Amino acid sequence: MADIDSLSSVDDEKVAFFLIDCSDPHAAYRQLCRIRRMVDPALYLRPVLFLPGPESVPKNILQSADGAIQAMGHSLHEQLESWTARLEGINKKIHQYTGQPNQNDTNIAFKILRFIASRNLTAEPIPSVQALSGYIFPALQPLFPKPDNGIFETLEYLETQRLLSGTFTGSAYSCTHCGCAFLNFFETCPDCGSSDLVTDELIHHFKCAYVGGLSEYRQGNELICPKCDKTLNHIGVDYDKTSIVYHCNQCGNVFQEAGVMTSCYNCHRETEPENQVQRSIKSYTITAIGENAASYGMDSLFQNILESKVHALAFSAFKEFFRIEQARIQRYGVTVSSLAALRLGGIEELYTRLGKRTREIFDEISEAFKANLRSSDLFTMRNETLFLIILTETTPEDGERALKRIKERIGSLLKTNLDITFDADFAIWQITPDLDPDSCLEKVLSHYAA
Amino acid sequence: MLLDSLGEFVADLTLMKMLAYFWPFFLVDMTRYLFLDFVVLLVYIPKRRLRKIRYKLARRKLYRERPLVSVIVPGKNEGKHIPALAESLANQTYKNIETVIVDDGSDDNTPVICRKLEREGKIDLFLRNEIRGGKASAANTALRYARGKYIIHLDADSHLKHNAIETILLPFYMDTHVGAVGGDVRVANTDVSFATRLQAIEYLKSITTGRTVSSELGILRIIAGAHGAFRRDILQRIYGWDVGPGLDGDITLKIRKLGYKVVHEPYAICYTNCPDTFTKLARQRFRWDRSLIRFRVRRHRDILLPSKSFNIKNFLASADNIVFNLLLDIKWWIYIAQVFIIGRSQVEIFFIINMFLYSLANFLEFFVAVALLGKTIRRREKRLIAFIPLMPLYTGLFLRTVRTYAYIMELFHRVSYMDKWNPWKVSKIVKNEPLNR
Repeated sequence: MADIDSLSSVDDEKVAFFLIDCSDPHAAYRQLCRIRRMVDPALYLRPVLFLPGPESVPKNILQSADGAIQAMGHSLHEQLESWTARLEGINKKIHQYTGQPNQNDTNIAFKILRFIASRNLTAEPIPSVQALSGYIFPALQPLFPKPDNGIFETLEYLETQRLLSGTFTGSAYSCTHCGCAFLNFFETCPDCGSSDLVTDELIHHFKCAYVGGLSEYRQGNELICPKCDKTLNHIGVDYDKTSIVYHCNQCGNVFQEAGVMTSCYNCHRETEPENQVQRSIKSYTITAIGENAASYGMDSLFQNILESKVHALAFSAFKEFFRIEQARIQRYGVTVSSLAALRLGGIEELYTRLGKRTREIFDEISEAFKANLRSSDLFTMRNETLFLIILTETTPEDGERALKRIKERIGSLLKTNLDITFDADFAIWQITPDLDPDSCLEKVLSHYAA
Repeated sequence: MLLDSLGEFVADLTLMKMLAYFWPFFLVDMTRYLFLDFVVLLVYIPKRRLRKIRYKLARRKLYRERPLVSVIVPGKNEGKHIPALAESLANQTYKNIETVIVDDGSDDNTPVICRKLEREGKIDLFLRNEIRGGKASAANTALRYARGKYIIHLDADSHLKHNAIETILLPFYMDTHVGAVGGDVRVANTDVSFATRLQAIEYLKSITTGRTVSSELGILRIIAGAHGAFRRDILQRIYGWDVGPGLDGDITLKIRKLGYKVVHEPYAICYTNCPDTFTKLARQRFRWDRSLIRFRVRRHRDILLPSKSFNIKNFLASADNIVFNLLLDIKWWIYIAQVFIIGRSQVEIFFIINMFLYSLANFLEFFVAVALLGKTIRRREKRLIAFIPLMPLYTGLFLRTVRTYAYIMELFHRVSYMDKWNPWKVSKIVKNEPLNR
């Protein structure tokens, strides 16, 4: 593939998969990530195969693609044919998803869902030192822009929505501060907290009842009792290891119950193991509801909340009301109403940051809308980041004040609680007969793009 | 009728007849115990008063040096007793002590209790041997981690009088050749049952008075595991305790063999819990009595034989023990036989007169103990006087029966290697490969 950025669409009939030269595996992986991070399902869902070069490809990179083709001269063509047939099922699914024109999948959770559904994939976690979380999902990892715990949060969220089904495969501790799974567990002195400890393995010689450290008995390869000079032959027959005793080199304390601390290899913070996060590691498969959602759209959690809290209208209904408001104003010509278009950045990040706790933040954001809109105002959302509001009997200047308050409250909420810098744009127009809501949204988006 | 016969019998007694009929009392028991008890009364008590200055100087030396003293307490399933013991240690007049508790594989809540006390700073070190090794191994584990110059070995179900540690250390500062000091052991649960009352009298006689006498004569042969103080350097030299039962007597002889003095300090008082039923008591004594055969007759028989390191006091310490326990036990059966052969028709009269003689002796011994202990004797111990007439039955019948059975079983069946006191694997090894020292 020469230039991924030049891809804007692919012809389903002609492109069965992307083939990436894997002679430089890391560069190939970067290319794969760029494909997976696109928003057009026809592109990011498209199967990707590696063409391995002479260099052996790391396992985790190899598993991130849909497959690999061995470059073996005359058989290459046969392999391509074979893969085309094998990937037909995925391409059919993609075709099904791309039935609607101009559809972009901007929601990462939805992308994950569609990716798993298109491949009927069982997303298996694999222990890896290359991820802070200690586990990677090789096939899903390229969809995520950051190498953080977002993938875990998103999968957990999808499981809570019953779109995915998780199967427990193990558990792992991760740092309570940074989520890093690389923790050092070490024993400490209960008196001074030092980890400079020496352990004494005590041996009891049955015959003479002498009790001493293993080192006292060791003479060459043999264990010889310092009290009665007998050779110790068999544990449990003529001697036992009765206990282990710690000696602190710092304060000289002797004890048997050492404290245990953990330190994080990433952020270097130390804490007791019970304070660290114990995470269930699961493999995920798609549920029947998930299959349906992947095909026909995922019911937006945020949309659900807004519909119940601020009575958000469906976009088609909103457009009907807008048309009536335009007619009313034109008919009587005595009042002024406004249309506001609002874009909230960073909403998607909430899924990856918070997982199932996203609901709590959405509740708070809804409260911000509710507090600053009147019951006569009409509200809709184009998707989770784009909103349109009809501010009845309100001039654009007054509407701007309300929107600023909404923006400030949400901004403060995200900044204070999650340290997310809020990214938002809005614009307000006086409603006139020739104003078009879709073009208003376009303007806000183009302003954001600029 | 019986009284008439008794009167006739007594009236007919001449000195020779009296000796012939009641020789065990007049020739053996009265001489060995009653006579020596009076020696104590007449010699030891005034001597101790004269030593007041030496005790005072020793106490001053002790407090000038203030050595660390390690109190070690090995035991299994003794957790319930440890809080009281820790409290009695906290109330000691001598303060520079560390407490080391070793749990020998308890299967109750002992570890939970002791870890809590350790966290609260009421004991200094709690060590748990997950695999039970027997009392000697637990004591040796404690010895390994004890840092004190002196080691005080206590039983877990004991507690100390407030000045016990200070007092038990004084003999070390009065004579540098003292290697170990036995503390006095008295019954803590005196009023619990008939069995404990009789044991309380027995302890006053045999431990308080008996061991003071032996100590004074230089033939003390045992320092009770319930309360004994040792120099740590000596314990380390002999690598601690050997496998028991009877490990306390064994270690005392080993210290004696090294040439150190072993003394008893009757004013260092420890109160210990005794078996409260005769069944439990019989079991305990069966265990204790076997150790005479196992250790003195078998293991330390070299003490009795002339050798380069022969020591007359060590010889007497062991010989006294063997003679006055083993042989006199045989004597008792011979006497029974004699009574039934010679005076079959007068068994009741022999019984009554013996009861009278031994009760009289017991009263006198009790008075000696009261005189010896002075103010340290408690009112409830004085009240035991009412039970003294029963002591001949207790010591003469009950304890002797148990002792005879123990001796026979140990002599012919070596049963001490099979009891539950030690783990079976330890006993098995020790039986097949006994230590020769």
